[in-house]
This record gives sequence, structure tokens and C-alpha cells, in this order.
Amino acid sequence: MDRRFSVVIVEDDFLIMEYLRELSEEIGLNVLGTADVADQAVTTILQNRPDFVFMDLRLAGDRDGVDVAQAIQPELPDLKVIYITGSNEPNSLARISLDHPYEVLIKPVVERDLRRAIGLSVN
Amino acid sequence: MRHRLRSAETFTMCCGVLVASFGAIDWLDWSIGTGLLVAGSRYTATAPLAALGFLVTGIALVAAVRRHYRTANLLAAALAVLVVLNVCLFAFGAAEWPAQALSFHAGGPEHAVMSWATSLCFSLAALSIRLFHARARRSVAVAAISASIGLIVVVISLLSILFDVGAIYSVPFFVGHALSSALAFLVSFAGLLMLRPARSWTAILLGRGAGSMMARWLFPFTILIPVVLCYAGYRAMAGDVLPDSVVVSIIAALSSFLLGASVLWSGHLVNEREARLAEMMRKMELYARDRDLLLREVNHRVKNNLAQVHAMLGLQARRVADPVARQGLIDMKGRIEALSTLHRILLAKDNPSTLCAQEYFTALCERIEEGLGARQRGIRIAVHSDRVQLQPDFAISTGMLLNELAGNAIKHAFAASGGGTVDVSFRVVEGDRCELSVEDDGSGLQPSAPRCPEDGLGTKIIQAIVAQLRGSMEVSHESGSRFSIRMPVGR
Repeated sequence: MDRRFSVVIVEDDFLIMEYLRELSEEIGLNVLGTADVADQAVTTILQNRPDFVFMDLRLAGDRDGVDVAQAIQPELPDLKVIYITGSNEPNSLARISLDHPYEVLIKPVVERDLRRAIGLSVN
Repeated sequence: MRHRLRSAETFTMCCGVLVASFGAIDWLDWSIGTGLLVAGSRYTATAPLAALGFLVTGIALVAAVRRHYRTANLLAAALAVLVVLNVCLFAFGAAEWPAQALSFHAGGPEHAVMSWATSLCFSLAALSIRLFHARARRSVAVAAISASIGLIVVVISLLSILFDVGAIYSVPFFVGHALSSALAFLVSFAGLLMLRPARSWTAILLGRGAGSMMARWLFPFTILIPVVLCYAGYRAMAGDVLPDSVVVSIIAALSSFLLGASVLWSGHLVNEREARLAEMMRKMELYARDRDLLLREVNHRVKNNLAQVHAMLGLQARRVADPVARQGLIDMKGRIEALSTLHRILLAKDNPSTLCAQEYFTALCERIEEGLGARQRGIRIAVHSDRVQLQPDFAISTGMLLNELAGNAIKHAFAASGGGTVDVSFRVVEGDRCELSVEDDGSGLQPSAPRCPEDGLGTKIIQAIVAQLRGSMEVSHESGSRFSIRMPVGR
């Protein structure tokens, strides 16, 4: 790997956020920031301009992860948004598919899932 | 409805007893010859054969209600014989013979002779009694129709007697059809129509539906309106109050108006009820949507909590230095992952109440393979499952069982260098029992000897779930290890 990939984690559950942060760091990602509500997430992502965003669908507040992704789309059209969601119900998956996600992971995620999602070798 | 059906039976029973009593009393009256009923008036008297006929009809009705069908059939046949006998008497000009033979003071011919109308009514009654308990729906329909025709004939004669008692006897068909006979027939046919209300048009009057309620309301009015109007009109015509054509016009106009009003009223009632139903439907939909939302929320909570526990175990595992303790936490994390996977597969469908065994086990095994990195070690899980529907509870338990068994096989059955196959099979045997088996072709380490405390826990979990599923487990170690669990299938 020439340089470390960078990531912003958007997750409204702080336990899971911490776990994702440690997991990301362990596989060599540079965690630039975290956010748990939509507005904060937009600001953090636009400020840090990461390679990836780990995006939860449900966030604290009215707006969800898809709203965040759509808000930053004009600024950062090449941003790779990886959804990490707790619900795989048809409704939620339909909502996510509105945003043409780079990858969708269902919680709980393990190291292997993250590695595969960002295109690192699984072994 | 059931309550009303029972009341209908009681009603028919009463009708039968009433008609039979009337026939018996009248027959006695003829035999003893006191002439109490006979002498009353020529319009009210019943002929002796007719009296016998009523006795038979009444008993037949009671027999039919009590479900003595053979007796009812015999009595219906006797009634038919009676009618034929009467017709023969007419043919030989001996119509008055029964009255003369029985009574000392035979009156005028009109009331001593059983009329054509009476004969027709008895034939209809006999047919109706015979067919009402037939199995074929068409026969029952014929029975209901003949009872209804009888009712119409009787009502015509009763109304004619009410309007102008002299006029009816100028019609040959009705000559000798006395008021008492007509009343007895009215009771008989009413009783007959209530004999099998569930299979005749009377069901509409007795039902619980909105239409039946409306019918009960409107039925008396629609029956009485024409009768009252025509009676008043007839009186007006007889008294020369108004020209006939005007009276008939008034009858036509008023009956049109009143019947039209009753139709409108019924329409109004239906509209009201429909509006109430629509409101109820709307509330139910709202309620269902709320429940749906709540269910989704609860499901989400469950999965989120599992994800939280998983995250905490992951965080903790990183902070434990002791490798055995660390492995314990990682194994536990794996079990929570498996549980989450089960929920995920269950909730991926819109209708999670049942799920297909084959799809479920295949998805679960893929996840187990991935979770333990089996592919990288050249290990493959092959799933063979019957396509049966499983209950969620059963699915969760068997899923946990499979997770332990297949996980164990991947972790321990194969030598570090070589790959292999884990065969998972789920079959329904003997109808309501099934067999879940997990078999590996690995060289196998000593499976009975626990390698660390964690293996002890795996075994304990397996035993607990097998016991919970009321199953029994067989283990064999030949070329590889084979675990097979037989248990009642939860479908």
C-alpha cells in the first residue's frame, strides 16, 4: 500500500463507533474523524475529504445516512460510501440503494468484512 | 344465528303440535258429531278428510324437527294418498261421502268436501316435508319453493275471505277451502319454511349480516303495505266512495311510493353500515401500521443490542493479554455474530413468520465459512437440505446448533495444511421428525478430549440446545466425525 487510506466513521452508537475505530486502525486505515448526527457528519466529511466513509443508515436526529451521502455528493462525487447498517429489512436496503452505495455491510462487522469492503487482501 | 336456528326449530315444533291438535280435534268433532266447529259457519268448517290431513301434517312436522326422517317420509306419503283418495272421490261424484259416513248432520256440500285448493296445499306440504331433509341442495330448493307456493295460495284465500267472504266461493278452485283450513295451512307452511332455515330463503331473515338485519326491519312493512292499501281500496270501491279507476290509481301511486321509500331506507341503512365499516377499516389499517412500525423498531433494537455486545466483546478481546481468555472472548464474539446472522436472515424477508430451511441453512453456512476463513484454508461446507418451512424459534435453535457443530469441524477437524469438506444435511424423516447432521472428512484430532475450557462450553451449548429441541444426538468417528441430531421438526 503506497499510502494509508483514510476514513470518516458516521455512527450514532458510540460503542460500535469505538469498535469500528479500533478495527479500522488495526487494518491500517487512518481515521480522520467521527460523527453521530447528519449535520456534523456532512461538516466532518467535507473538512477531511477521506477516501472512505463508514456510514450508518440510522443516525441521531431526523436525517439518515443516505441524506448525508446525498448532501456531500455534489462536492465529493468520487467519495466511496460504505454503509454499515444494523437493519437488512427490504425497506432499509431499498433506501440505501437510492444512493448507489460503494458497499453495504450488515452489523455486526468483523475485520474480514472491512478488509474486503475497502479492497484489501483478506488474508 | 345458531340461537335463531334453535328458535326456528322450536317454532316449527310448535306449528306441528298446533296443526296436529287442530286436525285431531276437528276429526273428533266429525266422528262424535257434536258439530261444534262444523256447525259454526260454512266458511269456517274443515272437511273430515282435511282434518285427517292436518293431523298427519302436524305429526310429520314434529317428526321432521326431531329428525325422525323415516316417519316424516311415511306421513308425507300418507298425505299424498289422502290427496289421491280425495281426487278419486271427486271423480266418482262421492266427494261428500266421508262427511256423510262420519257425521249425523252433514251440512252443505261446500264445507263437507275437501276443496281443490286444500288438495293442492296438502300435495305441496307433502312434497315439502319429503324434500326438506334431502341431501341435494336442488331438492331442498324445490321443498322451499313448494312451501312458498303453498303459503301464497293460503294467503290469497285468507285475504279473499277477509275482503269478501262470499266472493271466494264463487271460484271453483277455492270452493270448500274453509277459513280454519287456510289458517291451519298458514301455520303448516310457516313451520315448514322454518324446518331447515339455513337452507332456504328464511336464512336471510334469521341471519346476522347487515342485509338480514335490514330484511327483518323492512319485511313486515313490505308485506303489510300492499295488503292494507288494497283492503282500503277495496272498501272504497265497494262503498262507491270514488270511481274504481281512481281508487286503483291511488293504490298504485301509494304502493309505489311506500315500497320505493322502503327501498331507499334500506339503501340508507346499507350506506350507514358501509361508512361505519370503512371507518373501522381505516382504524385497523392505522393500528396495523403502528404495530408494523413497533415490530420493526423492536427488531432493530434487538439487532443493535447484539451489535453493541459484539462491539464490546471485540473491544475487550483486544485488551486481554492472556491468549486463552482472549480466545474465549473471540469465540463468544463469534457466537454473537452467529446469533445476529440468524436474525438477519430471518428479517431479510417481508414475512418472517416462516422461512425456507434450505435457503436459511445455506445462508448460515456461507456466513460460518466466511467468519472462520474456511475458504482460505481450502475447507468447504456443502449444504443438502429439504425445502421445508421452519418456525423462527426452531430456526434460531437449530441455527445455533449448526454454528457450533460446523464451527467446531472447521476449527478442529482438519490438519493445518490440508483442506476438506464439511457436509451439512437437514432432512425430514417420519413426517414430523427431522435429522440435522454435520459430517467432516478431516483426519480429526481426538474429539472427545477437550483441548481447553472453551471446548467444554461448546459441548455444553450443543447438549443444552439438543435437550431444548427434545432431540437426541449420535456421534460417530470413522473416516471423519459425524454428528447427527434427530428431533421433532418445528414447522
